[in-house]
Amino acid sequence: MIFGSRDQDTAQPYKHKGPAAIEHEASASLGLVFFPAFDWAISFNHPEREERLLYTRDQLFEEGVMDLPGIREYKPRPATIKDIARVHFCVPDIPSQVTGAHLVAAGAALTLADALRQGEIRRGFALVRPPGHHAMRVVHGNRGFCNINNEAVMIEYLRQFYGLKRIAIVDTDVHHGDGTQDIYWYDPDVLFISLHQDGRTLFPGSGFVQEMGGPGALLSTINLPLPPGTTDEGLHYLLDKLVLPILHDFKPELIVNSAGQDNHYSDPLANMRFSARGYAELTEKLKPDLAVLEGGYAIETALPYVNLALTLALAGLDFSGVREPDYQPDRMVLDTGRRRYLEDLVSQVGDLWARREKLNRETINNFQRSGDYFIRQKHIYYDTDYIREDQEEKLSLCPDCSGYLAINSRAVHGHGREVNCCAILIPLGACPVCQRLALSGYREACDKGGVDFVYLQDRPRDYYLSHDCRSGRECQLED
Amino acid sequence: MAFLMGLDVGGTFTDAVLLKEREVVASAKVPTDQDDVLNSILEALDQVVREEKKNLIMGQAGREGCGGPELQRIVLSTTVVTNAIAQGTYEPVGLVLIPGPGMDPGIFSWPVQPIVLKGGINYRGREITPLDQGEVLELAQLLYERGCQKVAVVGKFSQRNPIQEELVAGLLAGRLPDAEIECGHRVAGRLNFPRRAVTTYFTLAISQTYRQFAGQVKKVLAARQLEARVASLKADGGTIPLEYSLHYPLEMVFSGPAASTLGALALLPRDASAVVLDVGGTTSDLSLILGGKPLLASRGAVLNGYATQVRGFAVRSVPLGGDSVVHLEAGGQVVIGPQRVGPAFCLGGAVATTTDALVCLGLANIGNRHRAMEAMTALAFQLDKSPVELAQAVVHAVNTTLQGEIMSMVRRWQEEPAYKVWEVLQGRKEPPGLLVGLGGAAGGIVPALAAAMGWQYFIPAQAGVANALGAAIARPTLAISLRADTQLGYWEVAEDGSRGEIPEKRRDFALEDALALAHDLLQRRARRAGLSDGEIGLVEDLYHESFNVVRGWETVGRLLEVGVGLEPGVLWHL
Repeated sequence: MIFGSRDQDTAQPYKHKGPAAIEHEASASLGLVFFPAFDWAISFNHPEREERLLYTRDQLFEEGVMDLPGIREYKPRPATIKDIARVHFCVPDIPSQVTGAHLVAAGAALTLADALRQGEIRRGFALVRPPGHHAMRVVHGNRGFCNINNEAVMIEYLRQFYGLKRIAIVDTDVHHGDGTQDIYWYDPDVLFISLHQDGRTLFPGSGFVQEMGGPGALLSTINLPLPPGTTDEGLHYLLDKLVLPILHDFKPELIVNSAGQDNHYSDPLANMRFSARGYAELTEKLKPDLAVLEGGYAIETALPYVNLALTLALAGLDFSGVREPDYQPDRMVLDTGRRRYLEDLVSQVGDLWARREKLNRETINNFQRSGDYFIRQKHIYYDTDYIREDQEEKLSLCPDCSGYLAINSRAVHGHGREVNCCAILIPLGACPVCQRLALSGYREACDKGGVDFVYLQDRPRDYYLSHDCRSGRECQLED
Repeated sequence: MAFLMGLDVGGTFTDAVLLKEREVVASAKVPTDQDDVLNSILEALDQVVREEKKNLIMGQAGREGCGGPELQRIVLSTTVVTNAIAQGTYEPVGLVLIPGPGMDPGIFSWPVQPIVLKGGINYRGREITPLDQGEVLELAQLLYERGCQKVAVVGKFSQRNPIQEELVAGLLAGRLPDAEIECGHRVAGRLNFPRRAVTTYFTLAISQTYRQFAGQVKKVLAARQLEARVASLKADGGTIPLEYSLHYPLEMVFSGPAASTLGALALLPRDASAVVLDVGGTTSDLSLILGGKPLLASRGAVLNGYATQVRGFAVRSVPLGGDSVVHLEAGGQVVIGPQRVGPAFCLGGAVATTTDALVCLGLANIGNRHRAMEAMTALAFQLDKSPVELAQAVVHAVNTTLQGEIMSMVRRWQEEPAYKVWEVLQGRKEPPGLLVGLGGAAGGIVPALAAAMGWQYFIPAQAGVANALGAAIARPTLAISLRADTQLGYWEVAEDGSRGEIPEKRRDFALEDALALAHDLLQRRARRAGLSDGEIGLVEDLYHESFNVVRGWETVGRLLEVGVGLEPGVLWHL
């Protein structure tokens, strides 16, 4: 039996005239979670405060965006402890690193991931705070306003429950997405491309071209540092000449956009010159399956317009009427100096990309080693929480799989307190030998002590442990 | 002894009930004559008064009846507004938009081709694009030449700053002195520009129709020498004095479904939660009562496919009722509705209907049972089934559809978006678990439906006139949403566009101040609307939000929004 029903709340009020009208009616063009966390702030006058998405709310609601037939608004469900454990080693434990707001923001991405994979929507936009792209694998505190990497939590969920493998992340926040880079450094199946203001001039001070990924995963990390003052024209030059062709070659099953908005010309924390229109046209070209809001702190002059334009672009609607009141198209032209820089960047990275397979084969011996392991030392600075962390990563050399990872981490908090931990990660696709070695490595570390905490991420079994060496207590991280 | 009367003019029937305190002393049901609605009202009125007199003579002789001064209040719910819009029998209205930068208004479809002007206000109420006066004057000339008598002028964010709307309205009035011109900020002040425009448009479109109706009602009551207070029922289930309602004619849409929901509310215990299923002839209306409060449509009612800002219950209308036609699809599948051809076969109609199936199974006891069997037999024959088997298939199909719609409505409520952490993290919203059946065919449908869902059910004895009952004991509703911007130094009220200044020395204006101001403004409004002190005493705080405006690490002001008001409810539970 087929019945139509009329619902006061949901009846599609306007007949849509755009191209979206001819799409399959049951699925919306865009699923949207708007979660402004109006009751959460890092501190009362911090850029990451309650007020951040207030004017965006006003603009989106006043425009009637939620009434558009192609747009379906979703209520986020909170992510579970296990969803977080699939990505992060939280020290000392997950509850001390996440607040309700973090669970809801990450959960928003999961809600949309489900809707996408179940065919309810064609694209999803998690317009949420707090952001996440500076959160790394090991989390001692908040850095760059982030504790939990929303995109990584979503991607690992999609891999776990929908069997996705090849995923591309394009990070268009003005800051280098160093958290996402860290999480996928050794993963050849996740292509991470970050466009950002040059690290010599902005937090977090990383994201140079030479940072290209770990052994066997070279060029699965691509950094495109941009000179301060780069305009829409520069952005689109890079997009057309480099980013889109690379995505075309990589053939991902899913494209994720870390949709920061602080490249905007009015952003108070950075020095770039993108406009709402530039961002929307980028989105139109990139066609991300799922976009997740990251930074953007020009809360009045940029966010209402950028978010509206992005939403319309994702829904396949006309955004040409959206412009900042002080928008001047002639300020979006690229000058000669920056153009030359970008031309060099395109040719340099394009060349590396073309040679990626050869590079991966030939440079494998250039990586630092110790016995049967590749070794990497890192120093990580947590600006928000003032923590200094030193890490040593050991990736096992394995002929049959990409190996397992052991991380030794020592964090010194601002007041001098020190926390040490050891974390073992068995990635998806690890061979039985590596799985066994990693598990005995975890047990050994627990028995040996010498650190405060030992953690295990067993991705093939979706099984997560946390061991407190001081009390000898172990717990499984579950829903 | 105080008497209260409720009158519900529906599409098929006009119902009336008379209450003496908590007791229904008389009720009437007469067919609605769509060409002469007033006559139907008169008939229902006379019938109920007659019945009451009869009871009076038989029971409590010597007391004065309801026709005298003891009839305190008559509340009227009517389809006049809904019908005028559905049938397009309203006057032409010019729609003038000032959208400013943002979404192209062409993305939406409008009830009339809008005229778009330059201009623009932003979310804080700052003027960001000036008006072009020459353009406005040209428009005035054009409208004059077209002989336009009604013009809606609506700007994006006009509720945050009405200056451009007012300027345009003023210039148009200069050229069109006799025209009725309405500004969006005075009609619909919540965020949502397209809905504000549509609300303003329809408010103008039906103002004359509603004025005429109200005038006639007054005449009818005068002719019967009824001196009671007369009120209309709004879509949000609140009463409003007839005189005062002339300012807000559009709020009288969908008062029928609101009346039914209130009737159910009155017949349930205080604070109960339930799904209300009102089975009509052509459609069944679903609504939700949660903890004793009817659920409102979060953004406003939808009229004829156009979304508005009119506050109304979240009513879901399923095209399935007692008179829905039963027919067979090619594959032998039983299909019900959505069309209605006339009454049930057992009531002398021409085709088999849901009602015939119910009568055939003994689930309803109306009309001619033999004819009901006959209707089922004709269809059953084609499927090689017995008439009872076919009737069972019909009832099963009806229940499956209704169950799906009920669960979908509950899910919609459970999944209503939330914008604060605590709202998302609070416990799961549980389904009500109770189904209230109203309308003639409810008795035949609801018990089996509730059993299939594992819910309890309740079919009140007054189920047939619950709508008129709801109207009779509805409470007034009145709400104010006040927004204050202490940095820019102004406050505004969404419901009527009133605004005021917050002087420089009051920049510490805080949430308590906003609430106090809102209560004060609401009281004044309530007195204008003729509310009693007792009713005003029920005003509560509905919601509030408060944001510090921080610029360059310093707090430079606050953005506050508070809602206070009287929520929909009934005078008492029966």
